[in-house]
Amino acid sequence: VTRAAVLARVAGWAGWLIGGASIVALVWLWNADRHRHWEEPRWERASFVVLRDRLRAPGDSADTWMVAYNQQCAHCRHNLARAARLRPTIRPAPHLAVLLIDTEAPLARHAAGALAADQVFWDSLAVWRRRWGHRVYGEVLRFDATGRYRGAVRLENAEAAP
Amino acid sequence: MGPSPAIVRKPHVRLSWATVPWLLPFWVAGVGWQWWKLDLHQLEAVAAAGAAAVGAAADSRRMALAALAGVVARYIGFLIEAGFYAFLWASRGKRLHVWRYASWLVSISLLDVLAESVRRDLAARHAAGAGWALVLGAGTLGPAGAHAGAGVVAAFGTLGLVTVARMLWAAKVQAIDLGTRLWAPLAATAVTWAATRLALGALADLARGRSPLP
Repeated sequence: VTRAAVLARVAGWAGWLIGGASIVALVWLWNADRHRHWEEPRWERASFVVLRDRLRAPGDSADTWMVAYNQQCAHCRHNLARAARLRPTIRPAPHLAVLLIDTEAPLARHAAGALAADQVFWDSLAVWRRRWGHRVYGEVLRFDATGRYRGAVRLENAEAAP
Repeated sequence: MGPSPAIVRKPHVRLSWATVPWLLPFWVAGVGWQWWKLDLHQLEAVAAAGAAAVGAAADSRRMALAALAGVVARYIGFLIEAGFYAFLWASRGKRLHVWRYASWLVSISLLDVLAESVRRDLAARHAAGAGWALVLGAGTLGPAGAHAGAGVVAAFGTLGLVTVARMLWAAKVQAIDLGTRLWAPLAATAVTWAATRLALGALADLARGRSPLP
């Protein structure tokens, strides 16, 4: 048995060990993430910095569609535009809100002026990521008039509906 | 008469190239062309949807380059895959010829081209059913049909007869080169596939977090 063959075998076993340990670590991380306690999302002014707000009229029971928005994300702009286009086709038309996520303060204040939405809140405490456990930019969440979470809006399905 | 010179023979290589050698560059380029077209169609579909929403035109040159980058990345992936199996078998005292095996991986990837094309066609026509799911995997049914988390779909959504055929073909090529029976390369290929898909699924779930849509 040559020295090179022995080295190849040792390297092979080390490779298996490292690969196996990486998979086990990843599955452990995944399991810990799944079983961590996350808060139910809630659309309320107290959790965020309010950059723009249009108060509801008395008796207004329309839902709020909230777009998780980051300026660098083309998908976010895409989904905000789709939600804005869809909104008038739904009765009662939902309020459109933007939650600025993973954004520094000056950028958030600058971005707020250019966004076509009824409400623009800045997630200064990373509530969306750290307390709700959400991570997909551009997602559109639905809340009722009291701010209670009612699930996600599937824009494709809404656009496909007659 | 002096002593006869020793006859030096090259070790016999059992595995041939995927095609005759002179054809190989054209073959590799041809398969790359198929992948490029597939990637470009996907990018164009995504860009068209985005452009319609934000009122901006898609840049076709950038998309063509992005699709080309995708093909290059895929081919680097084939080399890494071939290198991984060569390393694996070297650790068992056997030699797998990396470049020859990589040439076969390029050919085998045509199965993936075919599967992906059919998947996209079925998705566009909303025509997927149980039969297609058996052939192409449960992911063909879409998120509503899969009844499973995004991670599970990302990991095992492509597991169907085509994937099994791909594994069998890759294992058979290894077995020819190694001069062994099929079961050991098949076990190595299946375990590697399952481990990488498990890792992919875990990463997809971690990336998504509690976000409700993939």
